[in-house]
Amino acid sequence: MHALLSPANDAAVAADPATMLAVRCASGDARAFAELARMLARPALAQCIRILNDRQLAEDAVQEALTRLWREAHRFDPARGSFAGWWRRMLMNCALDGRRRLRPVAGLDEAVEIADGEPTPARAAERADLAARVQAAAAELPERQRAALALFHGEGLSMQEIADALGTSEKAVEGLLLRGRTALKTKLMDLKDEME
Amino acid sequence: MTERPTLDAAIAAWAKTEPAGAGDADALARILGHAETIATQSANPARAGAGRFRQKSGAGRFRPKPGWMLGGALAASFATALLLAPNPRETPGADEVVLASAGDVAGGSVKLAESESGTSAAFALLYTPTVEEEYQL
Repeated sequence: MHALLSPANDAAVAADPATMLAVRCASGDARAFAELARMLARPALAQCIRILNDRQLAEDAVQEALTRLWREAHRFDPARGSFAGWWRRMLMNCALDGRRRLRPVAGLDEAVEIADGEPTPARAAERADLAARVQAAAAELPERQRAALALFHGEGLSMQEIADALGTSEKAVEGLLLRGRTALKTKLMDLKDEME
Repeated sequence: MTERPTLDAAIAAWAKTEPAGAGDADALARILGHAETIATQSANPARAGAGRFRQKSGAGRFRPKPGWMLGGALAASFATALLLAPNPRETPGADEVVLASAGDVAGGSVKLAESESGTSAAFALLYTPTVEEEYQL
């Protein structure tokens, strides 16, 4: 018997509309997939833009993730985890893999060196508000650090959930968060008065 | 230390604020159009996989019975044995060959054998040299 049809998963399937649609996708229901895509597209695009800092790359990543969702819907098993976690991991894989495939990742040191020749992002955005300056500073972080920060501070996920989404360990997530926070703190030093 | 909570608040504000372009109607329309295209044009592998699953366990699938398999194996073995066995008509048997003549040739014993049928070219000549011939040779 297929895992999706087992009685033990009935409660999990019925509790979440997205899970119910995913189950219908697994049986080849194109209308359910279209509805699920409408539900997921906007938040997924927002998250990818935040992580990739590029609209076109983010759009490509979301399209690729939806393609994978349609093709691999039969692999989703509610007994092994939530649909949100399964989809989040798929989306992160597409976003980060696509980023690596299309553009070489610039390390933090390299980004700082590049930024040194011109006004710092914070200085360039002196007249912008704090959020815009944080955005400019975050744009210089490696995308995995941005992803960890976005998932931790934006979605309030636990270390384990972030580790699952990024396909890494909790220790590695702690390192990503620590390095990301430290880098942001350094880049926002000129905002010390506002931060304190 | 007052810096940490403020930094956290700033990061949280960045992480929770929808970035510019996330609500781009054109981008969302392209994404949803792509999703609709792949759903209508490409078959869901899940359905194909389910079909394969049903085919494996379905009643319509041919399942050879063990008795048939044993009979088939025996028939194949018998046919192979018939094909590989030597045909007794192709080589003359011992009772078909008679000694045509026997005598001494140059002091040696010569035994001639030929087929029963005179038209047949099949014959055998057996020549055994004597001790003297072996010595001269």
